[in-house]
Amino acid sequence: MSYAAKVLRVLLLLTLVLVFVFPFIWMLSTSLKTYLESIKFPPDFLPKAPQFVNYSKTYVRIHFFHYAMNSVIVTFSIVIGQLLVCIPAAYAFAKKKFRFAGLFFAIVLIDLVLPAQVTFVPIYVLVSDFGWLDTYWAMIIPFIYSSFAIFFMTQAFKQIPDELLDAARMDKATELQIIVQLMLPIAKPFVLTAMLFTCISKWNDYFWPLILTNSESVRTLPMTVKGMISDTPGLTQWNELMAGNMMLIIPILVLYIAANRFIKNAFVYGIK
Amino acid sequence: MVNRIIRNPYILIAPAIILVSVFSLYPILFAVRVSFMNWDTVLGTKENVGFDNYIHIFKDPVFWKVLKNTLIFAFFTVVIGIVMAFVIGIFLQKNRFSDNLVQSIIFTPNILSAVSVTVMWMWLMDPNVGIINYVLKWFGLPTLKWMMSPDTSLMSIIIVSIWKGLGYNVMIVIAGLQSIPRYIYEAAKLDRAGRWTTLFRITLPLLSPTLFFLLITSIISSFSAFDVVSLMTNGGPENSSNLIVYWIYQIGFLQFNIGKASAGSILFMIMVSIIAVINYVFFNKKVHYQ
Repeated sequence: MSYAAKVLRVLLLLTLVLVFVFPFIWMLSTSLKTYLESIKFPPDFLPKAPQFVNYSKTYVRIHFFHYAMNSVIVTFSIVIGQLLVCIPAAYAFAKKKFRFAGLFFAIVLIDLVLPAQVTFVPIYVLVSDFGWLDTYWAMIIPFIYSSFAIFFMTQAFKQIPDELLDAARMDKATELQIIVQLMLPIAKPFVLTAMLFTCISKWNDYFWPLILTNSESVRTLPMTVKGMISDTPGLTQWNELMAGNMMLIIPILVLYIAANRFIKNAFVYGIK
Repeated sequence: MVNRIIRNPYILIAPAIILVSVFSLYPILFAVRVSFMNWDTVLGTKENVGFDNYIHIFKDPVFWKVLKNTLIFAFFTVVIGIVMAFVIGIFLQKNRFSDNLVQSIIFTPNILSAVSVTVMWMWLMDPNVGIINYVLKWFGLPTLKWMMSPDTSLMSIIIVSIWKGLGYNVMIVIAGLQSIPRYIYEAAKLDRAGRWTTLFRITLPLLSPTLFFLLITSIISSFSAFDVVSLMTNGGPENSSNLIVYWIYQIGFLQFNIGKASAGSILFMIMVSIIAVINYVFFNKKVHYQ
């Protein structure tokens, strides 16, 4: 690489780091300021004395525990539901021959093309007809099905040679044993990728909780942090809002740092 | 017993087919039917009104403004997002420690909730006490009212959307770059092809399927943008940052007019389908494969 290209590269890297890291640092710094420090202009970079109390105050104020539990319940129910619905379907599409398999597969994939934003109005009507508004059902049942998970796992299962399945059948393995003890261990990285992707996107979801719930009872973590933004501009308690936002970000950031490469792959191959 | 049941492929796919029918297929048909109705969810009145909802939409100046906003939003987020991803991808494609670290850093906003990201940016862009205005002032530039002003609200949500999505686009570009075989570059070197020739004659054409994939998925996702609008501006001020999905939400959920909202959904679906068809036609014919 020429000298000029090297300089250009380093400059680009530094700019990117600044543009992508600074907002987080600034948020952390604000979350530890007093309210008056947070609205001081020109701002001080660091708080005089870090106000860790902002975090405990916010924890109580936004009912963090209640919403975090809702997030855990909703996310894990969806992941388990998807495993129960998508693995059998993917197994059938990958390893069974049956009439209209192509047609059914096309039906299954329909919302891989169409964004969810196309059907949110009728889904709302449907869910309210079922009497599910403001219940966990509304937050879980429509999402335990995933085109992407079925598609992704079907591709993974197809790569497992049929001979292996035949050999297992010769040894009198039952169908359930074939799925659980043979297919799943081999396809484990793919299944985990699909579920990790579901986990992150449901944990972060803002759109569906907004549409499908009206009360606070079953809403998830992002909703409560959003609720901290004051409707009157200028009255937002920025320091506490940033503390709340840090509490929303930290769990997923820890997960990301722990499983960095895995998560990046989940997204890149997930959406592709 | 269990074994006999799960031997039948129709039973294996049944839960998936039932769910996709109830929550994807039926809602599409339902939206088509309701788009021809005047349905007020507060009064509970329903009546068939033919094409009235569609006529109302086409006569509504807000719809045209929203459509224009959506096109502007999609154009800037997609073009800037892909060009930046291409340049950054070229610089970060090696498997060096520094490259991987920066890739991870710019990917971070992708795994965070839209709420986290917008709350953070609303703080940075606050017209009175935000750090961005402070920096602008420091450089002697005029400060902006960002999401509070009709002139800059659309720009504000464009900036945040590009920032959130950039890391993902970069990862796709890098995955594409790494799939180009090394021997092609070695052959080019032997032929004494220069850096720019290699970039424009080899890298770009061989990356074109990846870029085209990115183009189509980015257009569809920017057409579907909702979170950033809802969180940062509520479409305002004066609908200056209102985009089509948020506008449908306003009609259905704030004005309680499910019929008109469904008609809006159908128009939105038609737009997305056109993009998908273009994708299908071009992806199969025009794009350069190695």
